[in-house]
Amino acid sequence: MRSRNVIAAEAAQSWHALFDQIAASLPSAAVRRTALDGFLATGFPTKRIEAWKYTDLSVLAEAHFAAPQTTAHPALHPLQGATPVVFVDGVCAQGAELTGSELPQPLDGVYALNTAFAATGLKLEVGRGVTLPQPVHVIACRSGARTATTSHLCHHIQLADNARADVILESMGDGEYLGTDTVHIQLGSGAQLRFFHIQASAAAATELANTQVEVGRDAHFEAYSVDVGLGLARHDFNIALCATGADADLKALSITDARAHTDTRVRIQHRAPHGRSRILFRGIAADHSRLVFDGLVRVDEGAVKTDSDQRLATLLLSSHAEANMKPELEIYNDDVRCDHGTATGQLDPLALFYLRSRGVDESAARELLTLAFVTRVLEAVPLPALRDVLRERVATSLRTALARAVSTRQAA
Amino acid sequence: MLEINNLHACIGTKEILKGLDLTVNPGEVHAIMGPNGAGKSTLANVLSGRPGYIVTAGSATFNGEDLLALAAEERACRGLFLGFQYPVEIPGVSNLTLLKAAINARRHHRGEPEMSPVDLLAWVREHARRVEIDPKMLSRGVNEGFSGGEKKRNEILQMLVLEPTLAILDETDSGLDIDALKVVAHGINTLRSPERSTVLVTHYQRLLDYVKPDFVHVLAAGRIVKSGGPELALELEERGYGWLEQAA
Ligand SMILES: Nc1ncnc2c1ncn2[C@@H]1O[C@H](COP(=O)(O)OP(=O)(O)OP(=O)(O)O)[C@@H](O)[C@H]1O
Ligand SMILES: [Mg+2]
Repeated sequence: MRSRNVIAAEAAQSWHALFDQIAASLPSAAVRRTALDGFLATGFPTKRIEAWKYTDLSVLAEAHFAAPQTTAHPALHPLQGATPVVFVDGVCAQGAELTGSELPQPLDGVYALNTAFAATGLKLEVGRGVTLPQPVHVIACRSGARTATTSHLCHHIQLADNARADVILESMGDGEYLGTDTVHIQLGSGAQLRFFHIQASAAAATELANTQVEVGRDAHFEAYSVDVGLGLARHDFNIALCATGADADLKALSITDARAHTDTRVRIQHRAPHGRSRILFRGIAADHSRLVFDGLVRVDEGAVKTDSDQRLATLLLSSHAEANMKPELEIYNDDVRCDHGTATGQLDPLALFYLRSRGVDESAARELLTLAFVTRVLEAVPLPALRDVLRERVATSLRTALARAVSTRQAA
Repeated sequence: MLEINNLHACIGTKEILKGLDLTVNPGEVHAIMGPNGAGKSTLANVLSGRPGYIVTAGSATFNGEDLLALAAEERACRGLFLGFQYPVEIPGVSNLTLLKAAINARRHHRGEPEMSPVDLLAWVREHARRVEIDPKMLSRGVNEGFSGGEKKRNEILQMLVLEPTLAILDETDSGLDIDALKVVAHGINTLRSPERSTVLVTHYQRLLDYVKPDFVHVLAAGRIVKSGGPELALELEERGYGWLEQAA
């Protein structure tokens, strides 16, 4: 077990070759090479590392990854009325990208791969007092057609004082690939960002996302995270409420089916007084899938009058599915109002009977109740066009998961 | 319409219904009264197909068909309706969504096309007005945050919208103020016709002042121990159940 996470010599060689091929000529090559060496020394995280307790990436240690052969990509559907920015296999295909001279903020652990390799990403700067007239819809599409590929994106979103914007980040793909996306967000005083993250990875894919947020005075970070992927997905949110009155509100929903594995890890740090944070999570795990939600709210000594609430709930559709929820609070002053709660369960049998007694057949009743479970997150999505799209996608995922659940029940 | 013979039913190993007989013909209104814990809700639940009950003997047919062999939703699609003693709250499924699914399930069962959304909304709204439910409440979760009385009126709304041929209303009159009782009674009377029947489970004469039953039965210790006309309810109001329980 212990030796497995160390990158095998052969694999390390192929990482170096890959670096020479795609990253050596990029700006800040030295920083990138240091990041790669750091990654190769520590390897992919194993369960021994607390932050990766539920998601073991050591199986990737011996894998060889190639640079993607960017060719055709599936039909993409940017949201109506949004500004599309498209990345195919780590290369910008449409829209505003990061300028070449931009130095990525070095990250460690597995995200050092992003520092080493990411050549581009969204670069969004919204000026003081400006409200972006329409949402930006970033689509990151990846493929691993013949060989496993790896590609990396690094996004920057910066809102000056009192600026407002909506950004949708959607990832998808097919085949076998390892992708990392980092998002660096800075919100000035009174700024408001609504951030939507949609993850729809392929079954053989590994998608790692790291979103770092600094929220300024009276600024508002509102995030919606929707995971409907079939592969292995991990999303780290590190949110710092840096100044008085900063506010973070995260609503997340994960639906895992088949052998999907989704791990969301949220860290909210209250550094200043009068901060407010909210976490609402709804997860549905079907078949042999696993979902994890680990939320930590940390309230610093000076962060008096903090108001924080964390609500996590999961629904298991199969006895083989697993869910782990871990809400945590670390409080270093006593002038706060903080609360959290979790619930894991099955569909309410009485509700199921109530619907059936009205003539709704069992499978339709199950579908209604399962969908109802995630309604609080879905209905909160403030962009109506996006809400419709998400409702449809979530319903489709649930229908597939429920149909599989029925056929497994019948086979048993 | 409904024919129950020697019905025995258990929850787990506990026998609740112990040889119950009841016949309901088209157009009739039957009231079932009886002490707490006698098995009235159990009867209603067994007839509507709630899981968890085991029928150990006897039979129940609905329009000649073996009722007990059908799934709950199949019974509903054939025209059976249960008004719950304790209506269930279902956050996240709106009242309108439920009604839409229920109406179209019936239509599907009869081989009819789905009702158009516009017609459906109009149909539901019209009945909501009748039972004095604010149309705004239709988009709220089923019974979510409804008061006791609102929940009962919502049961009547569902009944009116779905037009069952046999409605079994389990204490739909309990917990209602005088005005709400009249609204509920009016709703029940609206559906009365030579083809439709109603079984009212109730503890109180006051509902029967508004909905005149053809028959009144006393259910005690899992059996019908006495049947009579409307005057039996008045007698029970005066004398209680003691004299009948001793006889049973
Ligand atoms: N899940 C259960 N497990 C065991 N006993 C049960 C269960 N549900 C009901 N019972 C018992 O079955 C008996 C009949 O209950 P039922 O609800 O049918 O009575 P009821 O006549 O409707 O009473 P009420 O007038 O109070 O509504 C009661 O003794 C009750 O305690
Ligand atoms: Mg009862």
